[in-house]
Amino acid sequence: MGKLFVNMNNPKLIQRFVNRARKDTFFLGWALSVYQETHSIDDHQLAQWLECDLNALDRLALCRLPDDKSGKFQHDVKQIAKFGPCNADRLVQLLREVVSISSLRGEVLEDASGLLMAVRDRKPGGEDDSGDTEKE
Amino acid sequence: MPTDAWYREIHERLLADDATAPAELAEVVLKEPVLQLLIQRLRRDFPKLNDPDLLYDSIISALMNYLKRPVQFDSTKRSFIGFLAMAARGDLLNALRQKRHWKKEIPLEDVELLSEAGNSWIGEETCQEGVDSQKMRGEVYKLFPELRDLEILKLIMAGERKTEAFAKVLEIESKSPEEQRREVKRHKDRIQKRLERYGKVVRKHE
Repeated sequence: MGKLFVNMNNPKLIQRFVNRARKDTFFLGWALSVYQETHSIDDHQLAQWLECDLNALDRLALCRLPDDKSGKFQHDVKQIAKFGPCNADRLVQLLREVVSISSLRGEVLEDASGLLMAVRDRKPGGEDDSGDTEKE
Repeated sequence: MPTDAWYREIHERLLADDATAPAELAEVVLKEPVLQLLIQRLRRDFPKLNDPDLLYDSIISALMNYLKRPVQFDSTKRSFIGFLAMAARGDLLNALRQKRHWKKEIPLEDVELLSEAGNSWIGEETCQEGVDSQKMRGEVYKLFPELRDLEILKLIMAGERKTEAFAKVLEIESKSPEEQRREVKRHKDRIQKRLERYGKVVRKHE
C-alpha cells in the first residue's frame, strides 16, 4: 500500500507539458496552435510545412515565444530553428502571421518580465528594428 | 545526470530570455534520472499520495512557473532540484486542497487505482486507446461514492487477502473473527457485484 508506480521515461509526460505549453503565450507552442487553428491543419501537416518531424514540433513548442519587437528576434528564430530543427524562414512566416492574427483579435501576450502587453502594440509587418530572416 | 554547472548555465540563459533554454531544461527535467529524483522527494513528503496525475501536474506546474519567472530561483540558497521539488510540493498542496474542496467526502490523494501485482496503475499507461484516465477515475468515484468502499476496492486491487486489513477499514475490529469474516465477505461481494454490473454496462456500449 501507499506505493506509487510511475513510468520514468513516460513520453506522455513531455506531451502533457507540450499540451500546456500550447495554451500558454510564453511558449512558441501557443503560436503553433494558433497557426494550426487558423489553417485547420494537424500536427503532421504543420510539421511537413515547417520541414521537421513530430518530435521536432514538440521541441519547438517548448521554446520561448520570440518577441518580434525585440532586437534579437532574428537571432532567436535562427536558434530555435537550429534546435528543432526546422525551416527558419517558414518559422518566421508563421510567427509574423500569428502576431497579425492575434493583433486583429486584440489578444494579449506575456512579455519577458511577465507583464501583459497587447499584441496590437507589436508591429506584425516586419517593419521593426529586429531585422528579418525573410530578407536573407 | 546534469551537473550544477549545467543548471547554472541554463538558469543564466533563462534570465537572459534565451529562446531554447526552456525546451532544453524541460527535456532534461521530465526524463530520468531527474524526474525520478523529483518524484522520490515528493513521495517522501506525500507518502500516501497515489495519484500520478496530480504528481506529474505539480512537477509540470513548478517547472512552467520557473521557466516563466527564473528570477525566483537563487542558486546560492539551494540546488535546482531542491528548489523545483519545493515548488512542486507547494503546487501539490494547492491541488490537494482544491480537490478536497470539491470532493469533501472523498480525499482523492487516498485513492489508489493500482495493481501492485501488475506493477502498474490504471492511468494513461494501462488504459485502452481512447479511454481517458480522468474519466475512468470519475466513473469509479461515481460507482463508489463512499470513501469506505473506495478503501476496500483499493485493498482488493492491491491483492490484500487478510480479513484484518478489511476489518480495519470497516471499523469492525472489536467484533469476533467469525463476524469480521462474514461482514468483510459481504462488503467485498457487494463491491465485486457493482464492478461486474458496471463492466457489463461498459461492454454493452462498446
